[in-house]
Amino acid sequence: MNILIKLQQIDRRVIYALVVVVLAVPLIFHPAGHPTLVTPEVHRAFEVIDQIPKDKMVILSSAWGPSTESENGPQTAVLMRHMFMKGIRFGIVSWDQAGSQVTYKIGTSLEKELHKQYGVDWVHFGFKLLNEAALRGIGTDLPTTMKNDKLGKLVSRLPVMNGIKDFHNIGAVVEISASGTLEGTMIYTTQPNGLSLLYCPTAVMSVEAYKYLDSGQVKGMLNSAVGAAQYETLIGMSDVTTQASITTWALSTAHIFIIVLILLGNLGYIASKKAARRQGGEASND
Amino acid sequence: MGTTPYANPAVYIVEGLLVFFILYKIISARRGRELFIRRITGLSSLDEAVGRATEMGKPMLFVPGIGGLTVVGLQAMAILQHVVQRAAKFLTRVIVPNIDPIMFTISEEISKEAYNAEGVPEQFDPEDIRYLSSDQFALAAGVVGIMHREKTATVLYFGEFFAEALILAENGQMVGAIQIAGTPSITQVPFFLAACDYTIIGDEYYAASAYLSREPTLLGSLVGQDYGKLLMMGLIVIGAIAVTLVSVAPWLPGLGWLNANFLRYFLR
Amino acid sequence: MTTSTHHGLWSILWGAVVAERHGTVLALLIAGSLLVGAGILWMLMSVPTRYRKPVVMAVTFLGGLILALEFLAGSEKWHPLTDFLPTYGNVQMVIGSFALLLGIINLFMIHGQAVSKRTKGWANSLAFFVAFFAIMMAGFVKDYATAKAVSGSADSIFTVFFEGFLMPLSSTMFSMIAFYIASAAYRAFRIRSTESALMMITASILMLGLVPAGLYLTAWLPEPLSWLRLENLSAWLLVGPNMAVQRAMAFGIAVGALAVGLRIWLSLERGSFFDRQL
Repeated sequence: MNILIKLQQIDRRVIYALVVVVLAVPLIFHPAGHPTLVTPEVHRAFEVIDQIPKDKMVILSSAWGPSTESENGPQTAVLMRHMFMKGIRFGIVSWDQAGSQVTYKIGTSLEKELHKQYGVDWVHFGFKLLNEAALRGIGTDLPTTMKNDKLGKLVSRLPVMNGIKDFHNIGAVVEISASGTLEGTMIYTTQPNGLSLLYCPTAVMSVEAYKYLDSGQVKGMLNSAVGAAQYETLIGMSDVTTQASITTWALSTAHIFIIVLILLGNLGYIASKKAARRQGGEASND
Repeated sequence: MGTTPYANPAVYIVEGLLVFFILYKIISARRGRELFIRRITGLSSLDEAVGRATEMGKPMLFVPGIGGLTVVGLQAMAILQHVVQRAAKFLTRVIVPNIDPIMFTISEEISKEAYNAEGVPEQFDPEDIRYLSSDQFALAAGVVGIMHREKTATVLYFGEFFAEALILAENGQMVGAIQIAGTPSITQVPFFLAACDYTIIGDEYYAASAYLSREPTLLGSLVGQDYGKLLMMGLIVIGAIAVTLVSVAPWLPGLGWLNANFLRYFLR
Repeated sequence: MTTSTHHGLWSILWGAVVAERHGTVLALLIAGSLLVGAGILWMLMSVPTRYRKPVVMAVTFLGGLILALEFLAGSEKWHPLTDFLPTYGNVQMVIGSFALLLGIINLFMIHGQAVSKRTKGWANSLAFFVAFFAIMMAGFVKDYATAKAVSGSADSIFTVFFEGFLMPLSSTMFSMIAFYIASAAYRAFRIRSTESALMMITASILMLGLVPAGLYLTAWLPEPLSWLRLENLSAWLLVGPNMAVQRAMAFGIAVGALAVGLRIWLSLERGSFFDRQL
C-alpha cells in the first residue's frame, strides 16, 4: 500500500527523464509506418488540392515559426509535395520572419528532390506584415500586394505568376498556422471571394476549427503532424520514413506514457484515500 | 460568389439589438437600479491571493498576456488596476512583465495611479513594471526567471495567451505560488485548469472589471451582455426550427418569406 | 467581390496623399510631418484641463467611427473608406513603433542599473547589451554596407545569431511544453469528482484516438460495435460536444468583446486609468 501511495508523489524530474526516453525511442529508430485511417477532414483537404485546375494558383499562408516546425513543417512539406507532383503552381507568404526562412528551406529542398524550378513552379513571397490590407489584397490584387518575392525580384515578372491577378485565378488558400490567424484569413481573403480555405493548425489550435468545418467555411484540415502523416498516406508515401511519421509515432508513445502516468497517479490517490479512511477509523476506535 | 465583407440586414438587426441592450442596461444602472451578479470564484479569491503574498512577504506577479493593445489587453489592465490597488494597501509589490511596449506604458501609469490613490506613492518602484521582449518565448523565459528569482507567492494571468501558458503555469506551480488565471483564449484554458488554483473561463473574463469594481456602468454593461446572449439563444432556436421546417414541410404558409428574408441573411 | 471606388476628384486627391515618394521630397515630407505633429502636441498640451477629457473622447470616438462606418455603411458597390484602411493601419503601426522605443529605454535602464551596481546576476544584464548591439550592428552592416565583403561577413554573423541562436532557442522553449504537459497531467488528473472523472476519460479517449497506437487497441471490435472504436469515439467527441461548447463559448466571448469595445469606444469605461485627471 505504501508503494501505491508513493505513486502519486513521483518526483517531476523522474517524469521529465522518462519523457525524454519515451520520445527518444521513435526519434532514434525512425519508424516508417503511416496511419492507415485517414480522417474525413484530411480526405476533403486532399480532394480540394487534387481538383485544382492547372491554370490556378494555391496560396499557402504561413503563420508559423521554428518553434512549431515539428507540427507545421510536415504539413507545409506534404502540401508542397502534392502540388509539385500534380503540377499545380503555388505561392507561399510567411507572416513570421523566422518562419519565412524555414518555409523557403522546405521549398528549395523539395524543389531539388522533385526537379522543379523556383519562379516557374512555385514562388516564395517572403515575410510580409500581417494586416487587414495584406489579407484583402491577396484576393483583389495579388501581384501588387506581394510586390517582391523573398529574393527581392518583382513577382509580376516571374513566369509562375503568368495569368495570376486576383481571386479568379486562385484555386484555394491554405492557412498553416500556430496562432489565431484563421478568422482573419477567412473574413478578409476567402469568404468575400468564395475561395476554398484549408486549415493546418497545431494540435492545440485544431479544436477551434471544428465549428468552421461544420459550417463549411473551412473545407478541410490537417491536424498537426498526424494530419500530415495521413495526407502522406493519400499521396502514396505510406511506406516512406518522413518527419510526419516519426512525429506521429513519438506522439503515440508520449500519449500512452501520459495515460500510464495518470493511471498510476490515480492508483496512488485512491490508495492514500483508503489509508486515510483506515487511520481515521482506527483513531475513532481508540 | 462569396459572402460580403460588409454589413447586411442580419448584422444591422442583431448588432443593433445587442448595442441597444447594453446601452439600455448601462443607463438604467446609472439611474440607480440594483443589479445582481453571481459569484465568480476565481475573482473572489483575488483578495485571498493578495493576502497570501502579504503574509509571506513575497511579491506578486501579474502577467497581462501577449495580446497587445486590444479589448482583451485593456480588460487585463482594468483587472491590474484593482489588484495593484489592493496590493498597495498592504505594501505588497506587484511585478508586471509586458510583451507590448504600449501595454508597458499603460501598466506603469495604472500602477503609479494605484499607489497614489492609496496614499503611498513612494512605494511605487518603476523597476517592477518591465518590458521584457516582443517575442512570445523570450517573454516566457523572462517571466519564468522572475518567478524563480523573486520566489513570487502569487501569480496572476489575465489576458490573451498562447503556447507559453503552460510554461508559465507549471513554473508557477514549481515555486509554490497561488495562481489565478483568466483568459478568453479557449485553447489555453485546459492548461490553466490543470496548473492553476482558480481559472476564469470565456466571457467571465469580460465580467471581471464589473465584478471587481461593482461600478454601475460596468454592471449594467454586463447585464446587457446577458440579454445579448439570450438573443443569440433565441436566434439559434428560431433558426433551427425554421431550417427544419423548410426541409420537412416546405408547404407551410409563410416559410417562403422566412426563407427569403431571414434564413438567406443568417445562413450566408 | 470588392472593387475600388476611386472616382474623379476623390481619386486625384487620395492618389496625391498616398503616392510613393523618394529622396528630397520624402525627406521634406517627413520633416514637415514632424513639425505638424509637434504643433498638434503643443496644441493638445495647451488645451485647458477641463477640456482635455472631451478632446480624448472625441478623438477616440472618431477613430473608432471610421472602422465602424467602413463595415456598417459600406457595400460591394460603394465603400470609399475601405481604400483608406491600409493607410489607417500604417498610421497605427508607426505609433506602435514609437512605443517600442519606450520599451527599449526601459530595458536599458533596468539592465544598465544592474551592470553599474553589480547586483546579483549582473552578468546576464551585460549579456543582454552584448547580444542587443551585436545583432543590431550585424543587421545594419548587412543591409547598408556598400563593400560586398563587409556586408557578406555581416550577413554570416547575422545568420549565426538568427538561425544559430534565436531559432533554436525558440524551438527549445516550445519543446519544454512536452515535459510540462506530462507533469501537469500527472498532477492534475485525479478522480476527485464525477466531473474530473469525465474529463479524464474524455482526455484519454481523445489522446488515444488521435494516434496509430490507439487505433490498434480497439481495431478488433466487430462492425456492430465499431462506434466504440477509439477513433470513432474521438471523432464524435470533437464534432459533437466539443464543437457545440466551442460555439457557445465563441458567442459569449464575442458578445463580451462587443460590450467592452463599445464601452471603450464611447468612453464609458470606468477604472482609475480611464477616470484619471488628464
